[in-house]
Amino acid sequence: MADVEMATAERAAARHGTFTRDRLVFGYSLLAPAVLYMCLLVGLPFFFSLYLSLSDATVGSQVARFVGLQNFVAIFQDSTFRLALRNTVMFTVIAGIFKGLLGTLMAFLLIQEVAGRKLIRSLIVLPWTLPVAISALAWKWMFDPQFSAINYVGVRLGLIHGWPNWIGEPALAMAAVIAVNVWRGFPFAAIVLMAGFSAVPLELLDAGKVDGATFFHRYRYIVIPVIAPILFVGLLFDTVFTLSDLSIIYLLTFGGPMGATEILPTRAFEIGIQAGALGRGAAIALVLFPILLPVVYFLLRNLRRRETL
Amino acid sequence: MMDRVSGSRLRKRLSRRQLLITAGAGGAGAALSRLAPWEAGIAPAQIKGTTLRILTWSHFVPAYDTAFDKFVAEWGQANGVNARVDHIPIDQLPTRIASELSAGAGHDIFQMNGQIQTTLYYKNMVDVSDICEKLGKQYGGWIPMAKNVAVVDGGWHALPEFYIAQPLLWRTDLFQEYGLKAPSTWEDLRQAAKIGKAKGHACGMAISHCNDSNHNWRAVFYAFGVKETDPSGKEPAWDSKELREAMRFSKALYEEGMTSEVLSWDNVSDNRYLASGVAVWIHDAISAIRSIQDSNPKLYATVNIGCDGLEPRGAAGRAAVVDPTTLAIWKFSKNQETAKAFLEHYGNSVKFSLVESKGYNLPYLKGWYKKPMPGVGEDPKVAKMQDWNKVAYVFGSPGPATAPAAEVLSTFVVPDMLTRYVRGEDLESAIKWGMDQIRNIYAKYK
Repeated sequence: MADVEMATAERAAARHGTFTRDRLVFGYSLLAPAVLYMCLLVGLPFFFSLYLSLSDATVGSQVARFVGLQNFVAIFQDSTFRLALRNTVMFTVIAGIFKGLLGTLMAFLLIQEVAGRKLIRSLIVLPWTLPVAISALAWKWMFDPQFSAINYVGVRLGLIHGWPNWIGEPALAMAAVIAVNVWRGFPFAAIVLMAGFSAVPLELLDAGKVDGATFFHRYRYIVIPVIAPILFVGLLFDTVFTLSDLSIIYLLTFGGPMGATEILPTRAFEIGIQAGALGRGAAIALVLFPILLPVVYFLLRNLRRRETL
Repeated sequence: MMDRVSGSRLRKRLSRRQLLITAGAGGAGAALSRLAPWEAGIAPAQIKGTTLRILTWSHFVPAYDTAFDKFVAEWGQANGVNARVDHIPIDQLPTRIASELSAGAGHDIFQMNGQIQTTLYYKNMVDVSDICEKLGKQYGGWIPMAKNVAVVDGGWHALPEFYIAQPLLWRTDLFQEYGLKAPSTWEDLRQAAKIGKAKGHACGMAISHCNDSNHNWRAVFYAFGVKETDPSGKEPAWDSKELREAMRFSKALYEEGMTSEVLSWDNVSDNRYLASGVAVWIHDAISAIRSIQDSNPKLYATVNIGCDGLEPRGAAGRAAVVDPTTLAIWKFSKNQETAKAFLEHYGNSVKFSLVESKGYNLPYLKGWYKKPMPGVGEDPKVAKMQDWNKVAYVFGSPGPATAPAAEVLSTFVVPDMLTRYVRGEDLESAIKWGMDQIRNIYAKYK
């Protein structure tokens, strides 16, 4: 009897073991494509960049020597790099604030029940969907020092005095590239926020109204907490996109005048690709990593906290 | 013994007819061997059935692209080669070249244009010394600049294709109106610009992140005696009293004769500025006048090229800092023989290049400067450029166009240094900034 029981228990344990193993294999095989994707498309280039940044690799040389932190020391001694670093932070923060404000405003407008709402929504996202080369060239014409359409209209409407040289004056040039980035990016913010707004239960808003909450109170204490997960993910995406936005500056100002619009991606491109110094270029690009890391950490931690509430 | 027998048998078998045929074939062979393969329309048999891909820029004279594509296709047909040309904008060439090298795949022949990187890439480029030396012998040698862009460690690693002159383009009608004689010096041009600006006709040279800015201001600086490096090209030699003199002159020229719009110009802004009818003078490639030749013939008629048939004189002389181009073959190319055969053919076709580009492509081979030059000598407007070889320099002078010199060029150190000064920064402070940048770049390559 005892033997029978033991045999049955062994069989059950074996069945349980097989079941657990099968589940594990099944689970890991489902996870494998994502892990593989992350390793190949994110991990591998990242570690390769790390390797390059610690070497004297050039485009023309097949062999690279290990140089330790020499590239990082050299780039921080370069005043143009320091300027690019400052510009990168300024470009990202200012553009982010404007995209947030305009995006929110636009999202509120887009959720209104008006005739032709679908058409308006599709027109609004047009700047974001247009190829950047086309939109940047159109803006280049609008900022042209001789034929600027902005100046032409502004002067005639009495809004602009003189003839500003939009991409020739350092402060104006930075303002111009930020404006184009905001123009391109705020429809994305608007769409993200609009998706979030539609998830806010109307009962909550109605209850707020009944309790006498103003628009700003409802927005601060009801809407934002509800849409926070979407908001954070959108903010994360936008920060990453803006920090690595090479194309607008490359096409509009090429980093000029005097490096006033030089940002880390343009500097990394100039040094790493155009001048062929891959090691130093990789070091410049990797400086973005410690900037992004705390941003990502803060946003994801906040997101997790809210999910556990 | 054996040879003697064979020889007697051969003599016995050779009929008069055979003798005539053999002699005829031998004569023709000897004559053909004196001709280059392209003249005979023959390329080595082993290239038949191969492919050839060429990467080059989108020429500022669009008709040249059409002619060049046809030229390549015809050569391909004649030699059984599947040949194709890809044109991309000039600014994209350095990136494409770097990515092709990293991938170890791409075109067989590639062009470097403006930003010459022969010293950086030469270990990956096929040695074409045999072709270049043959062409040099045939056409009276190369102008000194050719070696600066193509020779590294004593070997030719690229074929110097052509260079683009950026001459002075000035308005004869406005000079006449202001009572000025034809300009001869940079000082004459400063005076003209000063008067012109007061009358709404400022001059213009980009002081910005564009290629024109790099070359044009180097032309001024070189004319004032500025040297970029020592003759070896290894040590930077910018920091000098000549640089300070050139900077002072340049600032005066900017303040008295230009408007601040030059601080945001790109490579075609000066073309537009000339076409708008405002500029008293600009300093740019002749595409700037070619573009108004048909659209505004009246304006075209008033524009003159160069000073005394050359560049304006500065305190140290005349200097034309040109945009060089070269063609090279990747070592990873599987069609190296085909590519070499094409380069040899194209290197012998300078007349084609001169005529089809309407004098835009100027040659590196001395033999082509016999007047009248094809495509240049017949056109009175550009005929003045037939002595350009006497004043032509390439960036990095007097040293070769090395990798650090190219990086100084591609990171726009000179335009930025000048911008700082013209925008009010102290001369010494602006120069210190520039010298720090240049020293850091050169230190990296040691």
